[in-house]
Amino acid sequence: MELDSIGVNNTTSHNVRYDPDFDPSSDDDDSPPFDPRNPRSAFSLFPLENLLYCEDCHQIRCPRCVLEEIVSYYCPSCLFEVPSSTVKTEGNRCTRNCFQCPICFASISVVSNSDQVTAPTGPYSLTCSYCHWSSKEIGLEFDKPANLTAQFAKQLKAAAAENPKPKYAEFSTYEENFARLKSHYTSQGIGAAGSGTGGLGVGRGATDDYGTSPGTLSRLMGLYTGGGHVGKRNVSGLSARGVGRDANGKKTELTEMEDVEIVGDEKDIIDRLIQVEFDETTTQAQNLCQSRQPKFKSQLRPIATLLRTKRSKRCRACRHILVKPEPKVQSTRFRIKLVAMNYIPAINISRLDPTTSYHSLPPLSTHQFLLTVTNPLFDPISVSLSTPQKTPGKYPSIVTILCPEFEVGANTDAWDEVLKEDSSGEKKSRRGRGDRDRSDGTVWDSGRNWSTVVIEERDEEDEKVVQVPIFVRIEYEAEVGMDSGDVGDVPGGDGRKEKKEHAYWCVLYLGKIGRMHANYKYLLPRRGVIHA
Amino acid sequence: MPAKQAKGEYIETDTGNKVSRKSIIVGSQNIILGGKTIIQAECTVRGDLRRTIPSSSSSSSNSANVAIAIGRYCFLSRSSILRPPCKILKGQFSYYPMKIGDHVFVGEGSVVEAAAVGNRVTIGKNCVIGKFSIIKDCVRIEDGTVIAPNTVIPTFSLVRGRPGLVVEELAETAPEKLDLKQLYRMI
Amino acid sequence: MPPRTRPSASTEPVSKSPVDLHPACVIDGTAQLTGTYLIRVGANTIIHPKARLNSSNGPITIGESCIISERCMLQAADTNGLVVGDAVSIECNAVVEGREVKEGTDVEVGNCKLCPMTEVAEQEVVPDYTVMYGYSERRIDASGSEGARRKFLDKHIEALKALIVSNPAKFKA
Repeated sequence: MELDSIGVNNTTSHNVRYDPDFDPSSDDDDSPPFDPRNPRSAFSLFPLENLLYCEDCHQIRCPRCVLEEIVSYYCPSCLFEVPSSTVKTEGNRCTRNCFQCPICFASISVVSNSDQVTAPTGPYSLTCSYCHWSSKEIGLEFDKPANLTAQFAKQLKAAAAENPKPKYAEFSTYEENFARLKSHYTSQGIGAAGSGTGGLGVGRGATDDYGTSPGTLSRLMGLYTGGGHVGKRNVSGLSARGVGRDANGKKTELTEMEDVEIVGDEKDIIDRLIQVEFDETTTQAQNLCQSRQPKFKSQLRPIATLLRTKRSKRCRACRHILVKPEPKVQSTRFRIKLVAMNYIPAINISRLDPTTSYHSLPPLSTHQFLLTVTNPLFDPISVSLSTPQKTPGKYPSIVTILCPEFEVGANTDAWDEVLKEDSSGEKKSRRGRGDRDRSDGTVWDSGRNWSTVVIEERDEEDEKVVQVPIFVRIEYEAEVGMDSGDVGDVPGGDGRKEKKEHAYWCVLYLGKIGRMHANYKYLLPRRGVIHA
Repeated sequence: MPAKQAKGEYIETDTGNKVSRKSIIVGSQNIILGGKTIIQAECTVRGDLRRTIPSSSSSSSNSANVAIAIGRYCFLSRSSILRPPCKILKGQFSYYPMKIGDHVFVGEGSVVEAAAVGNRVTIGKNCVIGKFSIIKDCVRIEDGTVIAPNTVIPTFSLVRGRPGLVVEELAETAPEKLDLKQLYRMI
Repeated sequence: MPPRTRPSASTEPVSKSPVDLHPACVIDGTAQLTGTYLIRVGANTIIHPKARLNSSNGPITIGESCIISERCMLQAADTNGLVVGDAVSIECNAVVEGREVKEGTDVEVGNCKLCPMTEVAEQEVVPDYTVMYGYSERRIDASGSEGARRKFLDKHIEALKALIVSNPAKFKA
């Protein structure tokens, strides 16, 4: 029972839509209601807990209307905080002993390959304790169980040096490679070509001059960031097209980022594909996580763990800081945290009849829900809810809020709630009363800082999710000077009250209408029966 | 220590723990409950799988025997299993203690063999939390996730999949959202 | 204050099955061995509390040095019975029915490893050295770690022998 209600809270979580262009002062009643089915709505609906609030703009801020700044970098596996100065050079990856399995992406650890259990000795290998992949499978073993990245790099270099193909000897380090590429692209004059056509590659085919194609740029960026996978796409294709223009360019294409193994031309790959079994080829996920996009499992390398960041957030409009986390990796505290949950009332939906299932509401009937508005503010608020009579969409539902305007008490003292809890028996008794006179536009139930009203939904067609757009307007009188933004305007304005208002659309997910019986047309005359 | 004679399913302890009569608590002398923790029916807690080699750190003999320490406001759903992790270290096999923080929810049928679970962690239904994994504070693990052994999950993570990987960052409000005080009051 | 363990007298299996327990096996008193056919348990095998073995449809034979964990369910599908070889560890919540292994939680069978929640279909034969992981994906284990795993299992069994109080008398007819 309890578990059920937890799950339900998730599925019917109330979503607030914030519209940056919406001006509450314009009071335009003619504007069309918010349509949750509009494809664009997906980008403007967020659960309340994901929204921030700017005290200076007095506006809700969604993840799209904030600017983020990185506070600290850390490895999500060893939780080491990486100094920002070294992040770039280390390719945004952990350079300690953190690797992910190239097969299943679980984190892998170093184990001894020796049979000596009591005193483990080398060689060591990286082994996945989940899918049992071992770096031994690709011939990668380590002498020491520490400083794996350095050992790994050394082995890669050694392999590169051993390789008889001259391409490898040519660029054995990233630095040399970078210098070579830089001179190459400078000679091609990326900037000049770009400005000459008024944009990158505009007016020319991507293959016409690959020096200006976005692909080249992203490859260059790949070099800076170490994000390898953009680098090697369509190697053979590109080089084939580039051959005619610049023999040197072709060489560069093929050898950039290629320290160990060359991805052969397509014919080699096809020949090998014929020989090996399907199981030996990589999946798309495995392929994309590797810098060279190998086709075969034998070419997979352990993946150095990508770093994660802690970020602060600013209001995009006024640049004031909204969220500032503690830089310490393991801390969950915030120095500044202006979340909408503390400014905007929470709206929750629960069913009036506890026997109905949210996942299959009986079709063609009237459903009643309880809509609870909880006030997080220290001042009482007056709430007015309005909803289009019919929900938008092909098969509209008729929605009625039985009490659209009501008051919600202030979020005063936590002790009040404790006292209220003892009298929960009383709360239940009030339900009966509410049932009787729920048509006369009164609040169904209320508590210290919450009020509940009944919302009725009557659907006309079956099988769909009922999404009800509701326009919420809250008004309250707050003491001036409570918000930091007002301090400058009002010197010593104690005791003075100021009227404040918030207005926004939100969408309630009431549930899913159950499937109608296959012969529902025949049942239609008996609709009254289904009703009951 | 006489528990308040509960009429229903749960035995309530002095510190407000509510333990189902149908739960399977083995080796209760090695289990610490922080208080206000709920253990539902069929939930198995293996306190008998204690450390068999002496702790290297010279802690007091009392704490050395603890196999499972659970914080406050935790909720262990039906059929969940908590068992301490085991490994061979320097040739010696032993179980190692498991520490669970405050406000930790363990969903139905989930198996937890983690070394440490932080505060405000919600583990969904039918999850398996592998041996010696470390779950930091404010983490939500979705239903059916299998976290590989020795995995570390950092703070503010949403974890999904087999093996479980961090798929999303939780919002700043996660500490409030993952609070289980309300849940305790409902039981 | 830790709560007291409730004696599980109320959950005593209704129909006890005939058993053949090796004197060197360790079986917890709260394991449930039910059914009509014989349940045979080999030497050095550990049966955790609340492990369920049901021989209603056929005999169950468990080899040597196995670990049968808590809340797992072993059931023979038909009269051919269910045979669990030597050095098998069946982890928590696993369900093993005849040749069918489903919703396994770390069922480790011989040289294979079935990760948690993977499923083996009916009639399917999983070859040696198979690892099933993720959403029942398979791969061949080439890590060569079976020696180390066997050593780990032996040490594990040794430790469990000290930790779990064996109560074979409870299952004697």
